[in-house]
Amino acid sequence: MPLLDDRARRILTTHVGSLPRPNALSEMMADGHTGTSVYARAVSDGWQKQSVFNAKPASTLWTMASSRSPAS
Amino acid sequence: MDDGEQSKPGFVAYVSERLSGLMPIAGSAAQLTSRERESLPEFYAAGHSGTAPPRMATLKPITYSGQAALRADITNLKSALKNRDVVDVFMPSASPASFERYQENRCYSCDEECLYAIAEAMREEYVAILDAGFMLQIDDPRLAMHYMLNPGKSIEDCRAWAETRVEALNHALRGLPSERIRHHTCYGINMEQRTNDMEFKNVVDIALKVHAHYYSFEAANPRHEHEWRIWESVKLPDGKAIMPGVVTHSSVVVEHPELVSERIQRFAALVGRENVIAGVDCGFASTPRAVPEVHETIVWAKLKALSEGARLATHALWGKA
Repeated sequence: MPLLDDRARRILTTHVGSLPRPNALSEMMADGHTGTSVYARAVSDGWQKQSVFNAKPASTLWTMASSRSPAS
Repeated sequence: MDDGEQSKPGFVAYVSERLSGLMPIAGSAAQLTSRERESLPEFYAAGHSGTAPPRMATLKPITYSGQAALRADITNLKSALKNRDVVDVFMPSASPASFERYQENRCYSCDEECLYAIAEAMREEYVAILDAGFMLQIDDPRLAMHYMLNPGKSIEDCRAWAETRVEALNHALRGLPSERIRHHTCYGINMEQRTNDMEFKNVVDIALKVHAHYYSFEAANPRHEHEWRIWESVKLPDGKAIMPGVVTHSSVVVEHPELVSERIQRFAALVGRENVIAGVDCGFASTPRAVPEVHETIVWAKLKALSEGARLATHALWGKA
């Protein structure tokens, strides 16, 4: 469902970007190290947590069901 | 939903790794002068945890060189989205004005020329995020913070400064689809006394000139909550929406969902229920820290309260769960 249509049905929610990092990632970054695989795992884990608040009918985060995929 | 900015050493510090033409200034730190520090020096002397990335010197014409890092961020986010039926995922990117503060112009004939060079370089990142299918969020805290960070500047000085920065940002966003662009401004992620923040009424009209459809700002902390009344006189342009903070990053107290719902309803009554997206004052983990200012468990509890409050508001405003 397009965002505009969904806004006409309910109050959506969002955050503004930065979310807690896993401790291991914070420590690694503080030491000046980087690693794509670690970031990727952190992003994936973060999505699992964000999705907790997305189960309908309480669904309000930016994950409206749609045939349109941003990952395409 | 987004990638949580997991890869970024800071919401703006990361930019110095993605632009060429700059070199770190040895032994430097970003400007620490502010109205807050001048008004309560004892608080800061006691060890306030504000951040101060090293300053950069702009020595050569600025170009975007962060393609590989940006590509990795996009790939990571797309991987996390696999097998999920989602839309309107966003990716933040710093505004030219936010990065401008962290560099010292030693190349261009004037600061405005340097600002536009940063804007032109950052445009490549903005375009790539949109081309990847994500919504673009412009992180622009300096728009609201410039007054607090510059004790010698008047409100009128800061408004003139902000007008120029929004023009430069819009130059970077020219031709891009505004309906897929969010603009976020705030007063910083650090927990401070906030007695010297510019009142939002003094900059809201300039913020609304940004080429975007969604506007995010602080409205859930004790220093700014009362400012919802601004919208009694400010006209939100047709088709646009606001994303006011209805839970805050600047306190570990978890908001009650009923309060979250009340805050949402105040805005809905003034700008229309379909034009309010319930948001957060600011990010919760702008920089990686051993001891975060807001513990992770509190962050998720606040986001749960946000979701529950939005459900209550939906019920109140539409008469359904």
